Amino acid sequence: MGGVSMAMYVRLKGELPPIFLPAGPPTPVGEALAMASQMWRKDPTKARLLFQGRPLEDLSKPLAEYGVGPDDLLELEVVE
Amino acid sequence: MTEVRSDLRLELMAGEEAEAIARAVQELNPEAKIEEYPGLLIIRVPSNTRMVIDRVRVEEELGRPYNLRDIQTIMAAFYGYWKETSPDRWVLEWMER
Amino acid sequence: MAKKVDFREATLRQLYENYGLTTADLEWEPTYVSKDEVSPPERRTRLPVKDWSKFEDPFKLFFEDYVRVQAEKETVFHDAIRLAERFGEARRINPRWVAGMKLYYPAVAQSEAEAHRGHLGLSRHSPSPALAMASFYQLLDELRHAQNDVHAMRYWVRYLDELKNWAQLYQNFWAMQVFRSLFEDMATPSDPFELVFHTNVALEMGYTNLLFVAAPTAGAANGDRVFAQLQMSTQSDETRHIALGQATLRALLEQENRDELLPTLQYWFDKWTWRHHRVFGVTGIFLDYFAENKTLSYKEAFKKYFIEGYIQGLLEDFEPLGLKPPRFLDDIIKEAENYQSHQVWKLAFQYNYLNFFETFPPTEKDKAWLREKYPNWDQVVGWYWEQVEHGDPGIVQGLPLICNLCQFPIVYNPNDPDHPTNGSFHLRTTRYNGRTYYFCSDGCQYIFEHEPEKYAHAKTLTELVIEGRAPADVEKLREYMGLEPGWGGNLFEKPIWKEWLASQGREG
Repeated sequence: MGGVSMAMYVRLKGELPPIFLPAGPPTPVGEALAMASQMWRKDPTKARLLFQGRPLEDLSKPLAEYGVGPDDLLELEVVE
Repeated sequence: MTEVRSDLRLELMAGEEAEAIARAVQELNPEAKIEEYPGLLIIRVPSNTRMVIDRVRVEEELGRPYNLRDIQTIMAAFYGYWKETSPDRWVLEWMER
Repeated sequence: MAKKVDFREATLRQLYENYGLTTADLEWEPTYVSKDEVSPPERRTRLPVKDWSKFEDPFKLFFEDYVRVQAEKETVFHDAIRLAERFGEARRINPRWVAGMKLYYPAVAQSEAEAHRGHLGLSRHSPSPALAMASFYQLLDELRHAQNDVHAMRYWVRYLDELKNWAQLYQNFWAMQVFRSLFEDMATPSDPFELVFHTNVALEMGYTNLLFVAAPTAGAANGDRVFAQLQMSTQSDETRHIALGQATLRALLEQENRDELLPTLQYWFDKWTWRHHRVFGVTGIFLDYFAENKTLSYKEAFKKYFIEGYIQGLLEDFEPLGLKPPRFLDDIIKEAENYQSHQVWKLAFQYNYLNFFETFPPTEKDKAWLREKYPNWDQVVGWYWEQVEHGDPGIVQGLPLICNLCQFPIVYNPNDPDHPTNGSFHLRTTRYNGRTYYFCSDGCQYIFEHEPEKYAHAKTLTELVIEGRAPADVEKLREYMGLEPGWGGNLFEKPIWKEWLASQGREG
């Protein structure tokens, strides 16, 4: 009891389970993308993050600017 | 509501008692079907009939006295309701409506 | 010639005809203490049942018979295990099956102990003497099962190390949290009759036949007769437990005031059919993946035991009395027939570096069988195994999102029939007292929202790691869970598999 877990998760598109992403709303998209890519063993230059189906295109913006909250799910999509 | 009523079913650990019981059931219900898997013998009868295990018939098939209570030693599963579990006869059927 | 009169047989017949009289005096009004002291109200059922005489035990068991029959079962089991030990059977069992047994025994041993605990409560506080008697036999049975499962582990530790830590594994291993959550939920029912629903009705009628009848055929086919005999012996007791469940359901649904009871009974039926599907669906990996020599598929066993036996058998009689099919039945059927065993096995392989039991990719022969039994297998998981075959390690290097109810990593997507994992996955969440809870399914979310206080306080293993209460480092996490170096991984890469192949005259 006690303590509130706020955790973000990232799913590889087409794959499950989602995995814990050590990021938060202030984290820049690019940093989150780098972390997610490393965890899923993908090339970050050939991948992008999505939130509720919408691509997060500006790598310098914080996730919060796209409406991402502290316990939300992101998707990592490979784009060839 | 389900349309198909499943068979009455008795699943027994394989061996001579299971085989004797299966034959005794078949004598009284010619529609009985037997299935075998490793270690397991399954007796099925159609849902609108009954499965009757008669002690005297089992003893005849087995060639020795048999206490019907001992079915519990080899019974792995059943589908239906035990209407009777007397010393002379065990009867499995679906509920009357 | 006059037939010799068997007085004992005649007495037994009379007793059978008058069975009710043998249990009627087990209930009396206490005079030395109050009824509430004997049986506190919070331990008794809250169900407003008026007529308990309707409960009838179909087996009409006498204690003398109980002892005799159970002693016979014990003799058969202990002879089987002694024989197996004497002739070294364990060494000749397919290591694929042995890997499965490592996972199986700790989970099931504890489940039986919790069922024993549950029936201690029902037997003690039962409103009906006949029910108390049937429940009393059951608590003895469950203790026997728990002890025999531990005894089987004692037999196995002569040949392998992994089970020597079984209690710690049960407590801390990631996949065991699924079983812990279920069994502890079962041992702490809101009402003694919830216990009957979750054990005697949902579990024993719905799922134990899959586990204790279908799985033993696979065990026997792969050389493990100890497992086959033990579990069939366990299941022979279950037949009495099932009869208790049937008799209780009939007694409850034939009450004049059944409309007052139905909402509670329906909720229990819905909740427990779902919870058991989630957990006991794991049986699928024994039939579909661990076993090299296959007997029947999970889909086939599910059809025989769950659909024909449990749903059709039960509902045909109880639907006219007001019990509706389980709320999430469509999801259950869709998952069991298409995804469940495949996604659980894949998950186990994805985390094989954190396991104490081995897993392995399906062989070409396995795949041919799987494709035949599950026509959409390639679409569900075949693509993943293809990647593994082409050199992808297939492991997930991150903490999985775990369902806050069932404690399973979230690997299901039942809302999307065309693209099981490639579609519009939607994450189910609920906010409660300032915390976000995640669920794998509508079923788990429904249960949580019905009884949030029961489930809100636990943390998943991922949450414990995030909070620093369990280690994040892989080696330390393995140690925390009770694993030793060398345990788990891919069986096909280990010497025991190569030795086995050589012993069978097979090539790698």
